[in-house]
Amino acid sequence: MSLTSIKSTHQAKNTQFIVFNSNGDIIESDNVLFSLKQKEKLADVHPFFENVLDIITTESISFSCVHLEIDTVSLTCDIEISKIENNNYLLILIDFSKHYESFQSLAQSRNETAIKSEVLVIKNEVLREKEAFKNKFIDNFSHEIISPITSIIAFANLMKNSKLNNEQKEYLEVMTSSSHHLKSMISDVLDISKLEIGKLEINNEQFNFHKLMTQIESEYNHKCAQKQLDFKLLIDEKVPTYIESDKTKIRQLIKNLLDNALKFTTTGNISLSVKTIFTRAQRITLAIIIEDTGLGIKEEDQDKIFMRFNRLESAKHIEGVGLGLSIVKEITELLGGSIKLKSESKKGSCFTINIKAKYPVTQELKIHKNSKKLFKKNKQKHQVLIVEDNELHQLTIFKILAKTNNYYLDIVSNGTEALDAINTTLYDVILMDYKMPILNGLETAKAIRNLADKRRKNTPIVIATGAHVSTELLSQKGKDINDIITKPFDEEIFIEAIENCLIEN
Amino acid sequence: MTTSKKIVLLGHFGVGKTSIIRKFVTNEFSSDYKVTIGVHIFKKEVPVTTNDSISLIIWDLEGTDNIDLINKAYLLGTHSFIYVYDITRPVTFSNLEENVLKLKEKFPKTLLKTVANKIDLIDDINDEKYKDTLQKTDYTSSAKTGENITDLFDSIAKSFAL
Repeated sequence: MSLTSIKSTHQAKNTQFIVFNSNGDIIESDNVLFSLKQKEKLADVHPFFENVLDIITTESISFSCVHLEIDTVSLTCDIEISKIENNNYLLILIDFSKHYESFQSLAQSRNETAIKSEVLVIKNEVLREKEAFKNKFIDNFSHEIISPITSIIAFANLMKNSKLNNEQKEYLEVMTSSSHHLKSMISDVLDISKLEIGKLEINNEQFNFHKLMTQIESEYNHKCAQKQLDFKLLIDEKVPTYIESDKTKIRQLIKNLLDNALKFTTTGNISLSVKTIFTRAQRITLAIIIEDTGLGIKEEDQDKIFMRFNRLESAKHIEGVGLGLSIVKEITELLGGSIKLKSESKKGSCFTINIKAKYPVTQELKIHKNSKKLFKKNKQKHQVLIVEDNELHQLTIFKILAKTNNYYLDIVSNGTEALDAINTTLYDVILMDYKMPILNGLETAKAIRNLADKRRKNTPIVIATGAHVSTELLSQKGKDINDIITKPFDEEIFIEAIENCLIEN
Repeated sequence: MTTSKKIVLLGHFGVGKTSIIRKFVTNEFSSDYKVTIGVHIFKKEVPVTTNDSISLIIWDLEGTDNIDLINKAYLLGTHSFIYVYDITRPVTFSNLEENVLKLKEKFPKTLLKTVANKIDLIDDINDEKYKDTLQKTDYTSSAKTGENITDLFDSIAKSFAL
């Protein structure tokens, strides 16, 4: 058998030849695939041919993968039509059904996968939008709650110094303690929402680490004494006085762990110790260790305690929402550190946070004189301008500063009024809200820096902002503005920021 | 009198071209997705006046996001294009304008209708996120509920009768 005859035998099985005239009438068909009758109109055989006849030119036309159902036969064919002699046309149908079937199943799985992944992306997007909406709501809502609570605490603190009888003092203590508890829970929810949306940013600064520890010591000496517990602070002598890190977050980590220790310790002691783990090229790793003689955590529960909203069965009777330790872990990791726990049930717990920080070449870099000395040496009161549109906040700030008896205070409600006040009075420091009508804090600060009078244009400016410090604002620290404090601020940090500005000036 | 006109449905895969045709031709709908490869051809006669009807020869093409890749022979002699996209999948209308422009350049005399299908799957058609796209679309449809399917083909058929 010759190759030509083998080829024609092979092709003959899947190829049909049809000759038709210019009217579309079938002249001849070998009926290999479909049974067609002579003189039958091609257009009646299948709708494919209806329009095809109109587009036939002298050149041949090819169609691939055309599905044809003629009578009971269903095939997927490649089709070629070409003009032949006597004004007739040759139609060749080649059956590739098997080939296209396998291609179809490949295309089916490819397309289904693509659609599924598209749908997944869309669903994720919707979830992200919902999550962002939820977080924004929590953020706004928590903020709205936290501001009045801060005012309650501030005024309760002021009231403590007034003449109260013992019963009133007790009531006030309960009010303050409940407000602190509420504020701490809302702060936790606010932190979680910020962690969720990546809004919790690191704001590194050089600060006196020893001073921070001493402030914490003073606060927890008092808190522990109230529960008849001993409190100890131990700082290794190799720990530098000044470090560069996020002071606010380090304070928060330590306070969260100490509060946790306080909650679960009824007898014995709580200790806070700091050690140097590693120093090299002005980089340091500090171990901050918080140890207690409290309830302790069973080994099987130790992995669970850093999970959000997780409250151990053994701790159900103690107040809290189960966010504190998860926040500690997430913030520690945000700072590039790690946290470890060693604990024995009924004996106590020991949390160790390793934090990486920079420390300045010389510890003389930023020597802050003791603020008390500042006021002893300079008995003159300092002139402070408060620029704040919220009346309650105005009153809170006024009361806090008035209590120190170190300041003369002027209060205005917006940036324009601030500029007017600066023109008439020379201030030692300006404390300004960031979010204000007419001119915001930053715009006002820029306007002050553009004043002609050298003394006025260089007045130190502290901006008070919401919990989220904008990148724009942060970039201006050390430039148009001297410092940023976040609201709700605690009294000590607030006064410290103002004093630091006065010292630097 | 009956004349026949070729209508070609184009668009990305999985947008419901086959479902739209099946709903129109046989009034059937299946939510199972079966990929079309190559071309399927359907026929339906549509009355356009009391005495006249038009035989619509509907070409259901394999879905693609790039109309340049379509077998050119498929598009020859087309009287109307229907460009279908899936309102729930932005990727299927991300290049709507580009593809419409290409079709108008290559086939300036051919009727072209754009269709946003699967409209039954969205909660609010007036949602801002659909506004821009729907403004550039001639029909919204649902092969599932049959919404606007007959209207779409009837209006095309009637435009041939004019």
